[in-house]
Order: sequence, then structure tokens, then C-alpha cells
Amino acid sequence: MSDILGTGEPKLIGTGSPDSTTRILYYSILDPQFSEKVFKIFESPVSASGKRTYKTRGRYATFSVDVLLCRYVDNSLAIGSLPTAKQMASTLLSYEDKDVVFYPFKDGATYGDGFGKPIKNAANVNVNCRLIDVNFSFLENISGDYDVITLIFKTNEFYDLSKLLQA
Amino acid sequence: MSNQVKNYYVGSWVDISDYITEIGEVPASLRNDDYTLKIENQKISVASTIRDVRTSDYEFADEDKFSFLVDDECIYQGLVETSEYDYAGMFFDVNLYHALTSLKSVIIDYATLHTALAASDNWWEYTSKDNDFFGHSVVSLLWTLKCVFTAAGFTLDVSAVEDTEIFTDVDWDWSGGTLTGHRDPVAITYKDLFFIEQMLYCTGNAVAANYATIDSVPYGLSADKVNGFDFVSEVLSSVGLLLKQTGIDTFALIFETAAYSITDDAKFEYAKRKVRAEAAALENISCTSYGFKDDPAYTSNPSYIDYYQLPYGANPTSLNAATIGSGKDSIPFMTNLQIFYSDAKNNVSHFESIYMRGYLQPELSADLAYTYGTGKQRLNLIAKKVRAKINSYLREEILTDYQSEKKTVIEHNVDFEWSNSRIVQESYDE
Repeated sequence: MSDILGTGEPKLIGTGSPDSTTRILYYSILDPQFSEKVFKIFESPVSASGKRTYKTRGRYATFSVDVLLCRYVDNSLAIGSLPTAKQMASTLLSYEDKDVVFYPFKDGATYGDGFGKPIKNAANVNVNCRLIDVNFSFLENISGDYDVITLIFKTNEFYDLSKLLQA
Repeated sequence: MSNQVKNYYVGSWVDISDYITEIGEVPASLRNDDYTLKIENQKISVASTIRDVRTSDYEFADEDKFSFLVDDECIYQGLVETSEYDYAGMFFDVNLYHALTSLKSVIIDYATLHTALAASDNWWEYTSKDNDFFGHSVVSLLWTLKCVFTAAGFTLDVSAVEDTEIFTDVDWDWSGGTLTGHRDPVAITYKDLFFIEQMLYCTGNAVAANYATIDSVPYGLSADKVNGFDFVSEVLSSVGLLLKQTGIDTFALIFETAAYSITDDAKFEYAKRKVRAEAAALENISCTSYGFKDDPAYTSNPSYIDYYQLPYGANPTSLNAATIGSGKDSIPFMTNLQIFYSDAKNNVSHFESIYMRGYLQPELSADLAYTYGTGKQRLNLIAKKVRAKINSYLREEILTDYQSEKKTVIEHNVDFEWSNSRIVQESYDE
């Protein structure tokens, strides 16, 4: 959890294709990289002081989420209506190369109200993320089921990090 | 700073900025150093996902319209010349030509312009031959330019220049209907410049004839008709005015401004060079103009005569040629471009050629207004061409932050990606 950005697991909401359903990524590990900055330095060849001007157009973000499917089997947190590992894997695969609304933190039980928000741009409009990659991997240092599905989300446009902060 | 690219689709301008994958620097300036018009092409790449907004026909058609805006101000408008789809890259390579190219489709002739010219209710814009003492239809230069722009689908605003004084002329005093001598010098403004309609339709032609004669021989005399682009370009250079885009499909006439003053710290790239004058002195240049060199009101036929006889007759006649200077470096001047001036505004409430004070002509000088007699001045029709020819100048190329103030520099290219202005400006040794 994050005290300033939100609480709870990441979640995504489909944007119509394949559906518009809310999917909470239980038992997952979020690795956010908020600062893919697009900027350029302009340096004056004439200025006596060697003046530099920095221009930042904005920043994109990449979110890597490891969903530990192996934990869907034992469901140690006793989450109700939890899909099976296979169902979850199948569902997440259906979003590959689709745009989704991505919440780094779903904001607990009453997600959507207060903090824990989707990525937003400077105009405070949701920025869709593209699920650009879905990969399977296996944790070999634990016993029993060890499936992991890794999701890579990228923002489709520049976003404003301040819009994610807790109100 | 907010940059937008818009595409005219199904009756409205649609913001397609999100679909532009590549855009070069957008040219926002419209002139050459001698004030003639300059327009440039623009290339952009548009992602194939443009079908999200162009749902019924996502391919770009010939002459589809694009506009480029900075902070909601249109700085460039173009029409599709070619649109190639790159299947591997999934984008359209779109080559645009400047919207002002449409002026080339407007021909300066009776069929194209007469109805529009005669539609004005303002006396200073158009006076019919029926209301003119000598039977000339008289049309103001500014109104003619406006009508040429309208014929091409644009609007031209002349309000910034129309009342500006260009030069002073000694006025004749017709008090009480009798010529009683000279009055104090009167100011001639851009509003006071006019064409005689029949002569306007001879612009570019090697002979003088009325429009019916010119039009009666397709591929003959009519082949010399000039198009609106060349006409506007020549007229602006002649009378010292510049063009500025003020919005989508709207333009305005303005005066030359001072160059940009950019601090050294804000020069991201900078280069300068000194350019020597093409001609060392006025002695090196010459200019030959062809036209009706005498006052048509008094020499063609001073009485009421048939419409087709004025001011050019049905039979084509050769033009008078006048050459100034003897230098080998010749300055071109559009054949039969004849501009007159009047002070009708000081005398009457309508515009008659009887109030014509004279005609304008080329002069070997870089001054727009030159003195040619006691207390008399005239506008020099080749002043800007002479300036560009005989003066050395400093040429600066500067890359800097976007300059929202529109100055009349030679080049102002706007980098839409980094919101920079690439400026090329010249300062003459005057």
C-alpha cells in the first residue's frame, strides 16, 4: 500500500474490448516506474554563461504487475468469489494488446471514492493504459503451485502524477 | 502552449493531434524579402488509427483540408497534395500544399470578378461606370484584393491598413465646380488606391483591350490573364503590404514589423551571415513597365462613349513602355499592372475617376513614398524590390522558444514537438 497514492491491490477496468469489467489483481506485486520523462536540453551557443533550457513535454509510466496465480489455489486471505488460477490467467490474457483503465491501488473495499485513482492526465481525464505484454513465469523456490503471470501496462499518453495523490 | 492539428471532416474541423506520428517544423511566414508571397508545403505522418475519428472514410482525399494551430491560433493551413499509405508502418504520409495555392485558381478577369466587385455598397470600394463622369467603373485596390480572396474561399481583413497614409499629394481645388488652383497637400491612404475595372482585366496582358476582346479569343489574349496568387503577390510587393494568417480561412493585410529581439540565453541555435547586395548601386538596375501611361480619363475619350470603348477599346492596342534606369540588373514588373490614386474621400461621397490624381509607377528608389515635384509624392511600386536588390543585409537564423507575437520575418517555422520557433530574419543596411 501507499499512504499517498492509495491502498489495496492494483486493478484494471476494461474499456469495452473484450469487456468493461473490473478486475482486481489479488495476490500481486506492483512494480511501478512512474518517470519515463520526455525532455530535451537546449543549450545556448551564444550565451556567455552557457545557459541551458530544459523542456519537459511530460512523462509516461510503465507498471509491471506480477500476479501470483499460485496463491489463487490456497487463497490464504480467503477472498470470496476468487477465480481459479486458470480462469484468472485466461481472463488476463484476453486483455493483451487492449486499452484498460489501470489503478495502481484499488483503494480498499470502497475503491473509486477518495484516493486510489486511475492514471489521469493534466486535464484530470483518465489516461488509458495499454496492456502491452502478458508473460508466464514460475517461481521455483517455493513448493507446490508456482505459476506467476506478469502484466506490463504502459500509459497511452502523458499523465500528471499529482492527480494520483490522496485527496 | 498548446499545439493542435485539425482535419476538416464531414463538415467540421476535428482535432487529430493524437494521431500525428511525425510532424516537421510548420512554416508560418508568408513572404519573400521583396514582399512577394511565399508559401511552402508541409509533411505529416498520420497513424492508421485515424479511422477512430474518420469512421466513414479514413483515407485522405485530394484537397482534404488541414490546419495547424498554436494556442487556438491558426498558423498554417494546407490541402492534401498526396497521401501515401505505408502498410508496413501503418501510417499515412501526407504531403500538404499551402491553402493560399487556391488563389491560383482565381483568374483576374471579368467573368470571375465583376459580379463580386460590383456587389459592394461602399462607394469607395466600387463605383459603377453609370455613376462616373467618364464612364469608367472604378474599383479600389483593397476591395479587389478582398474579392480575389473571397473567390478563393478566404476572408481578407484590410482594416489595419486601409486608413494609413502612404504619401501626400497636392490637391486640386474644385470648389463650386470650378478649378481654382491648389489646396494644401492631402494624404493619400491605401483606401485611395484604385483600378479602373477594364484595365484591371488587362493585367498581365501585352496589349490594351476591353475584356470582351480578351475573352473572345480563347488561348489567344486570354492566355495572358494572371492568376490571383501572382496578382496578389505583385500587388502586395508593389504597395508595400504583407499578409498574415489570422484564423482558419482568414487573412489580414499588415505592415512590416520590427524583427525579433531574442536574448542570448534564449538562443538554442544561432547563425548569422552578412549577405552582399546583388546590385552595388541604383545605377546597376533598371525596370521596364508596360501599360497605359497617360491619364485614361483625358486621353482615351473624354466624352460619354460606349462601355466597350472605355478605357480600352475593342481593338487591341500596344502598350506604352517606360524604362527607368539603364543598369543590366533588371527588376521585373507585371505587365499592365496599373494603379491609380484619388482623393475622392476629401471631396465627395462617391468615387469617380474624375477625382483621380494620378497613377503609380516604378521609380529607382528604395523609398515607398518618393518626391517627384514640389510638395508632391507618389508611391514607388518597386520600392521593396529595389530594397532587396541594392542593400546588403544581415541574415540571422535563431532557434528559440515559441514566439507568439507574429512578426513579419522572412521565415518563422514552428516546431510542434518542442514548442520552439526557428526564425530567419534579415536586417538591411539602410
